[in-house]
Amino acid sequence: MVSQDQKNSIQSINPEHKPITLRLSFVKDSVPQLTDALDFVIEKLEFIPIEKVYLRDGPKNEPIELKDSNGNLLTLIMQQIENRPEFKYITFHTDDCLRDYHKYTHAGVEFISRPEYTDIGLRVDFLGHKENRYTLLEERIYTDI
Amino acid sequence: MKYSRVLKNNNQILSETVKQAYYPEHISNFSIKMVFSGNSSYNIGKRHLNLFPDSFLALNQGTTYSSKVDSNIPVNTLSISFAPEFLNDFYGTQNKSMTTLLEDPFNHNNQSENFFLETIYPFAGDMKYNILHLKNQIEQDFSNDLLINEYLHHCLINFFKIYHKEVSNKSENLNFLNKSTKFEILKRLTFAKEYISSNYNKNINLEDIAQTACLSVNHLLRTFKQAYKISPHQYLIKVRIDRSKYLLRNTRYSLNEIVEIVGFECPSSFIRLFKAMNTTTPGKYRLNLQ
Repeated sequence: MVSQDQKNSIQSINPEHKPITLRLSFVKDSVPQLTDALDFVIEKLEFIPIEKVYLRDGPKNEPIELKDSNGNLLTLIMQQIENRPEFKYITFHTDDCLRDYHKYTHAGVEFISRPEYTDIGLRVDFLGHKENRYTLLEERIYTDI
Repeated sequence: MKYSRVLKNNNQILSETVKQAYYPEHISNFSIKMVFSGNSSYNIGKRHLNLFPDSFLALNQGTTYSSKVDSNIPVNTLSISFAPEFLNDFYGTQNKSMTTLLEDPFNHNNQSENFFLETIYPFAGDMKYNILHLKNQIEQDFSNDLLINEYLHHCLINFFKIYHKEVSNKSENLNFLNKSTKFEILKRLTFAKEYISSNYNKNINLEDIAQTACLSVNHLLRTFKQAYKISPHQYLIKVRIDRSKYLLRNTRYSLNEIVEIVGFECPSSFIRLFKAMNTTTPGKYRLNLQ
């Protein structure tokens, strides 16, 4: 279950109750773990799918709509990626890795390491329900704009 | 608008937006300072420098300085002061073995007596990302010490990486055998860089830069090129072009106004140099951002 602190933390990213979008990237081999990834979102972040979701054969192309007890909406987008060797596990994309690392830690998520800097941004790996490994990644652009 | 916060471990964060402000001489802990719009000026001993959004200033523990904001536009500043214990603990965890840390976890005495080269550093990459996230959190009045300290811990990681790149690596480029000579030369070269960066829009000449750095003109030219792989003049052009890019991105100033603000003599030389360094014209650069 998520603590009050955790709930506040989720709301703090969404102060105007705008829908939150959570993007997940996965490679073909990790399709069997998608159900576990969805369970993670449901149990740790406390969002419930508005409609029943079946992921055994891989995700549908449409985004999955979820909602929490306060009526906040979360849109889950699952995207299969190819030719990106740096994406070894199912990846939860974030716009602030340290904030979500802190938030997930409070929610009881087991992290395998501390956030580390890579060529594509700041990342940290964590364990899901069935000891499946996931990545929390904040992609960063290091070239001057 | 002002945000001031002292964390339980005595790390301090001060953010404010002002047009005019004066902060009299005081002694700092190790601290880093940034501006996100406009500029602020600092007096550190006899040195005077201006801080712009592309750089941050690192001050050592025990340094006496004063600062000032005097601007027509609101200047948003952020200052982070690290408690000596937090800094010592960071040193300890970075430099000691896991066994030593387990056997004597709280003994990090005097680690922070290693002083840094006190100057401006590029505000970019991971440091910029993390500071902007921290700023975002404090603007939402997020009151979690643990998260803020996590950001501050990462600011130190980022600072050490930048320091290694800007000081240790550049120092190695210098053709002197003696390590302390290398460091002394690099220190004087950073004064030269600081002077160029602070006065980039004025008609500065080599003699002024050399005098600020306490180096002869020839010595400055030779060592500057050795350390940074570009001449002081090329560095001045780079600063002017970088600041023009900031103005193109963040303001509605016309091209002619930007040329004047950043200190170029005429639009044609500005456009030519901009294109040479960015493979696009200033007009197209601004257009692509819209």
